[in-house]
Amino acid sequence: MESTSKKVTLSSSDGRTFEVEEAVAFQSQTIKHLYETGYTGDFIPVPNVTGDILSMVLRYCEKHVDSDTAAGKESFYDNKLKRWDALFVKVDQSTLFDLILAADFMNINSLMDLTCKTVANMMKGKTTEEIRGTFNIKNDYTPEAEEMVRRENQWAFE
Amino acid sequence: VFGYQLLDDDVFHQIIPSFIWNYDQEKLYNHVNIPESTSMNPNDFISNLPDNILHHITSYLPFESAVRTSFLSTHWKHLWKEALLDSVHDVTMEAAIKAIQSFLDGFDTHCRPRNKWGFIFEFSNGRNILAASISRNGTLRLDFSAGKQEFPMPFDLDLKPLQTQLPYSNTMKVKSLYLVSVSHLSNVAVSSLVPNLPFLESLTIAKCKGLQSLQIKEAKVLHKLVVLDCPQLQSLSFEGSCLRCFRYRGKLASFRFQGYCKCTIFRRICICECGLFLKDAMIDLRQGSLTEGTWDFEKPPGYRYSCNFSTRDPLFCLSELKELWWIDCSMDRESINVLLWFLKLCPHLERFYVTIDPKCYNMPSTGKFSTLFIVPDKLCDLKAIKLEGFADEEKEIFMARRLIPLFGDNNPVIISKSDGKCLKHLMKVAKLEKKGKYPYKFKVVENVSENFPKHVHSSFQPLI
Repeated sequence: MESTSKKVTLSSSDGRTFEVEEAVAFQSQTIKHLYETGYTGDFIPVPNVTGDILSMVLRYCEKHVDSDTAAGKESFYDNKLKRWDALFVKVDQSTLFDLILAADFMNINSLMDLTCKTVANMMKGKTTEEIRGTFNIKNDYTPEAEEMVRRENQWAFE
Repeated sequence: VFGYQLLDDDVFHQIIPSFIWNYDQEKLYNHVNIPESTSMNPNDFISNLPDNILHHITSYLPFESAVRTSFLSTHWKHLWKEALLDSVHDVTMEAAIKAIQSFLDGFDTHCRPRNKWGFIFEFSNGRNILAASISRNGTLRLDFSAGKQEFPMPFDLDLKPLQTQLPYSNTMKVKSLYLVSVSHLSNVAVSSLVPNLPFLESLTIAKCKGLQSLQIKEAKVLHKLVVLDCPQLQSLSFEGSCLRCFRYRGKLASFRFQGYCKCTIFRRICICECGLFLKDAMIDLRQGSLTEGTWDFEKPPGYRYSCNFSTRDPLFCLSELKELWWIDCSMDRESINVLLWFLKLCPHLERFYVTIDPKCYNMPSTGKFSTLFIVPDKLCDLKAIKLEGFADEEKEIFMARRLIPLFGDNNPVIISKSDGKCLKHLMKVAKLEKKGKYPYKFKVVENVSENFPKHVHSSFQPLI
């Protein structure tokens, strides 16, 4: 990285601060928009995101800022990045959902897509009971109500 | 667990100067106001996510899996619709139908946006909502049930699934149509769409309050008709050539089927193929009984008297019926009379299922059939009878006694399935029972299902 590039400091909800390149921080459309609309400070609070999650998010942004430059569009590099992404989301559920919330709040589209796709893949090909088990979803339907919902939506499976 | 949950509003405003984030108020609002549901499992991270994120996740699922998420819990009930259907506000009914039509015309099965499977229209009158969605297999569902329910005004529905124009090459071929809660306000729009669905093979009409008469004409390829819970329906007429499957639940008043005639004269020999070739039927009378004379079979327009009918009019119409599923609240003398009258119409029945739903409200019998002397012809092709939901063995025997005179030389299997999975065979016993009434009794037989012909209805669940 060029030493001349501008740095910004992000502060997490638990008070940890992270100094990163502007280009890295600007992967977040929220932060980018903030500067575009005239914000001049070099200290940005990110109140909804803990330090642990924010450091992961910034690691992701750093990796992906590289992909936009230099060799970014080459397929070899692209595949490598995909593998990196796949490893990046191999985390426990609570971390994964925290990442989703952070990606949504900071408005980082590619991270949002990556994490949401990961969750969707955890649901694909599973029965309703298996999905409930995977995500600890409590079935609060009465048996009659569940039967109704199943009948209502039966058309989709014909 | 989540940062945002630790912050109450005051702290939130102290930490961030409001000018920083206020351009994105809506997003913040969504984050802060997550409904706190005490019934949710605290480890259920996913259901605690804001809806917009759940929509995003759901949109990455295949269509069927996305719909299936509605089974997870009440929280998920409507999420898939919000995720996969486009919300359109303030439209007229006509504009909505046009939008659906052009959506079907431009439907690209191979390369399509992942989250666009239909629309939710909110009409300008502010009262009606139409959810129009299409499945991957070409089932179109038009559901008006989310709107405000008002007093149902009577209306008639005339449907002609006839090709009026050649569809565009990539038009979605709608094979199956579900019409749910169509009202007097929406029936014209709905019937204007149907002629543009030339590939319609299956039609389901449900919960249409106010629907008085239903007419289906020139239905060239329609082979399945399902009508459920239309409480004001007084007459139903059908004209088409290849109806195979008919299911009805409700109170039936008048029924008219117009058959089909494919008679040709070949070297002075008349080759005749007339009638309605219904193969299986489900009649659910829990909402009220049939009255005699409600089934009216018209001769097809091409019918000539020179045609050599092997069976008598009007019996020919259900002569192909192989399977009948009869559902009622009880099987008392009255109900059995109605049933026997209907069996008269189906001389070639092979499989017959009777289900009693003891939970439903028992309509007082009208007494119409009590004076009629009903003797159907022998059902010589009958192979199997299945009785389900009868209160006790006495009721089953009572039913069986009425049916046994119908059996021809063949001796059909009668099996019963009461509570639990235990299947029983009705067997003739050599010795008369104590009271000497009848030489039949039930004998518990293991693994009956293996020998029992497959119930084609068993795969049938769409009792909306």
